[in-house]
Amino acid sequence: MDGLPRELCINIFHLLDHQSLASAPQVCRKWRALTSDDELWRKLFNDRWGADAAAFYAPEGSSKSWKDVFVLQDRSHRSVPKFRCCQLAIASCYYCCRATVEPLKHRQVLHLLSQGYQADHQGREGLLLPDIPWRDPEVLGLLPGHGHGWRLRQERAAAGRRLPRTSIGRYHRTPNVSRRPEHVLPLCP
Amino acid sequence: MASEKKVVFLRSSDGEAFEVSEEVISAASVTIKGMIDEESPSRADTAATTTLAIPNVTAATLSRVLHYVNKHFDAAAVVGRPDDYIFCAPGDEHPLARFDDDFVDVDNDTLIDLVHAAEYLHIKKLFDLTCKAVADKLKGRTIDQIRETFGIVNDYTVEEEVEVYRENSWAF
Repeated sequence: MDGLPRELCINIFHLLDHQSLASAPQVCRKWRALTSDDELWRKLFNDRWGADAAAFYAPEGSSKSWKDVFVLQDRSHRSVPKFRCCQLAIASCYYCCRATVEPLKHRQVLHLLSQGYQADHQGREGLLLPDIPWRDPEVLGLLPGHGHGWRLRQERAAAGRRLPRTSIGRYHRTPNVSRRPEHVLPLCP
Repeated sequence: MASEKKVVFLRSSDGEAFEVSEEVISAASVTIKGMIDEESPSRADTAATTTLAIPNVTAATLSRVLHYVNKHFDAAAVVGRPDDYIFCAPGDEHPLARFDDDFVDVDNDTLIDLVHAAEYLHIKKLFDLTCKAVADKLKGRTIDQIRETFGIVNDYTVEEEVEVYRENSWAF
């Protein structure tokens, strides 16, 4: 494919889905330039979310590309709530002010939601439940324990994917007992 | 339309000539149809056969292309739609689906040559087929596999590689 002219390469990239197209720029510099083509991402956006959405979200000016728009939309699309059994609740432990990553059972999620706790962010990492009174034994009892380093590593190994390392790591390094614990970790900017 | 079959010769870049029915090749290739139309006033009165030079395509690739074109033309003739055979919907019910699969089941250089040839000759269906085959070789492969398959050298520095990875990690 090295010898192919630009137009042919783009023609081939047009046949890829967004995941393959996102890994293509990692191959070499030329591919990186080629796969940032606006038309590629506009078409993918159009196919996935329809022409109306494409017209609405079309990038204005030169500061944003269609790829940026696609990434944003993909991110918000993933945050449609899906209450499956393997949701993770990411919160900080009340007592040690450390981030805890816990798998929640379906019924636990439902219980929390029925108690009026609004999940303010549902990403692919899981649910973020703000303002949960962790001291409340009933709620505390729902969580299987305080997740610390080993548990996080276990999660990583089990999931086989990257869990948010940087944000968790930050909380590990700066335990702050005097501060009111933050129940929500900012995962997405 | 004359009842006897007109034949044209196609001369590849390395000098080998291939005989092909004019009807077949002009239905398939826009480029060659244009060449034949250009030539036709001068040859209407002479019985000599035309030889067209195809400078961008090697003999090996050209013979593959002609094999493809003939096969598809014959199949379309059986179905009874000789003119629009290039617009046959792709899919399993397509009578030549297996042939197509086998046709593009070749090594990468051959496949890339076919893409070039199909593009140069404007054989849309062959072009779509070969592009699809290349795209399939990219799908679901790791970065290293892709580099190996297409013989691409990694020209990133380590820092850049990390940056590009971070840029695109949203999709995984």
